[in-house]
Amino acid sequence: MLRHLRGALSLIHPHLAAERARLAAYLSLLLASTGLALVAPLALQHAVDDGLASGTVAVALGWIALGALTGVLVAALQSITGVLGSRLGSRVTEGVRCELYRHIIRLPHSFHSQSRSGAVNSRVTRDPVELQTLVQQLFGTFLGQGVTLICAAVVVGWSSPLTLLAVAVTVPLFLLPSRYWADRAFRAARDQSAAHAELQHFLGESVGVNGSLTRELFATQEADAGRWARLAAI
Amino acid sequence: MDRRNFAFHRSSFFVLAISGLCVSAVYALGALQGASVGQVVALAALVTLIHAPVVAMTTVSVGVSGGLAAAERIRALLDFAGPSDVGTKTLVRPVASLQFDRVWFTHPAPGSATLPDLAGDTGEAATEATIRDLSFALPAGLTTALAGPSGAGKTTTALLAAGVLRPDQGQITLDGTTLADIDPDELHRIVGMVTQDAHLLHASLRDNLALAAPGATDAELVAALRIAQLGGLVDQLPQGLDTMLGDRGVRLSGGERQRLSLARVVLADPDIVIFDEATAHLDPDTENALHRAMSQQFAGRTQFVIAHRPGTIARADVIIRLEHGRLVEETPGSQQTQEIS
Repeated sequence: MLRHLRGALSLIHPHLAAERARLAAYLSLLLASTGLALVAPLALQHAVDDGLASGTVAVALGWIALGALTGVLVAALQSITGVLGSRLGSRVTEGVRCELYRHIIRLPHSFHSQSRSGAVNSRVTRDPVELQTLVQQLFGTFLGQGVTLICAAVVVGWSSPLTLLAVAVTVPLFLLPSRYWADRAFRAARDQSAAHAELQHFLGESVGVNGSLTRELFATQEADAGRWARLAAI
Repeated sequence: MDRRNFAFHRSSFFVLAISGLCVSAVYALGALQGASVGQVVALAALVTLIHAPVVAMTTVSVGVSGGLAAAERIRALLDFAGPSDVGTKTLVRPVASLQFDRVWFTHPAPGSATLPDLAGDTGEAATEATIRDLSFALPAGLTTALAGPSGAGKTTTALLAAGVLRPDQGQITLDGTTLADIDPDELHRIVGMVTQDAHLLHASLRDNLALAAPGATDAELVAALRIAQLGGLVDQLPQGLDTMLGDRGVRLSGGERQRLSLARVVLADPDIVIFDEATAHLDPDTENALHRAMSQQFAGRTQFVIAHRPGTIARADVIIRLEHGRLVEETPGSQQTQEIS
């Protein structure tokens, strides 16, 4: 998986490098929203210990208000981060699509005469979108959640080292199923892409004036529909 | 539910179940340490902030897998090498001579010129050479006809001459410069080709013509159509030059499509013109009229005509005959015509 990740990063790096300003804004907001998410549990602690336990409702409400305010701020920041992340991913998609198209149209005639055009279309249109999802998840999930994890671990360790130890022991349990499913998910993703290429290829031949004429001349409507149904089920 | 989502739901459910158990254990640990109620509540919330990212990062691998697989496919295609040497030379116009010197060409084995997952078929059967040790020169300013039975390699020769295909061995030169060394844009300005099948876009008549000369005026487009014996087409079509021609130009007849691609080459105005059975769909009268107009338009330019019909060959100054990719005969036009007829 790490090998695949390195390959993907080398592919998207030039396109991200061209978006430095947007990337910096995105990462700053991501880190800010992640850090602020830690305020809520601490506000809750003070609301209970300093407010509810001593019977001073006003203090408790003050802490709860702080927690709520922080929550609203985090939601707003995450919303902006989501938009920025989406734009960042779109630019990567755009860049990769252009790079691919520029490369493909310079390939020799024999490449085009031997390649299924639908499969090539799928490579240029669909795969960069998958890459966009990867970019958004790498930053939004792995980076954002990673920072949350580290900050939360520091605070828990500072409050109760024994609790942190207990939690640390359980973390590998979470990784086991993903280790099992990750390879299967990778294979399934690859199969799905191949299936999509087949669909595109079939449509390229079946839809359009040549496909229509062939169908009319040889009455292949039912056969075509059956073939499509088999492909669509993949 | 597709396989990826199925995997996602199964794994996320399992991980979330363990997470719930762990949060409960934290409460117990907090009580053992004698922490305050607020600390226990805060710790429980913080532990969730540790577990939640782990859950998110493990379940998100479904989407990541798709992205990683896509990156692998994109990289494979980007690494798939095109021609390593793109020509940069420009030539003094007009260019007059085109020469084949001991050219060999074999069509790549099926699947060998693309990636396995893009190939239509993946057979690796070797193919025989289509063009074998072919040498000839197109005399400057004259018309050379290429004759031969079906499958002799005529269209392959034309594509080699136009620089669409590259020879495996030997050289093709324009005024002494190898085609591969010439800047591709320059090459396509010098050599124009009309193919057997006109490739038309689902666009207007104007856009289809402007492909050959993007800056051409309406008057120039109409003039080119007139030379290609399509002068009346603009008046017949409801929106004139702006009429959409439909998918692959379905609105036009086969003959009209072919003449439209001849109009394109008139607009492109190349120094050397290749006609690959470019009048096959036309009736004899239209073909004769077209030949007269084209001869006038391209008078003094080097022309290379591929044709089966004696009538087409009769107009040539030189006739080359191919069989099984080899040159078997090169004669002056009139002599060959008498033999054919």
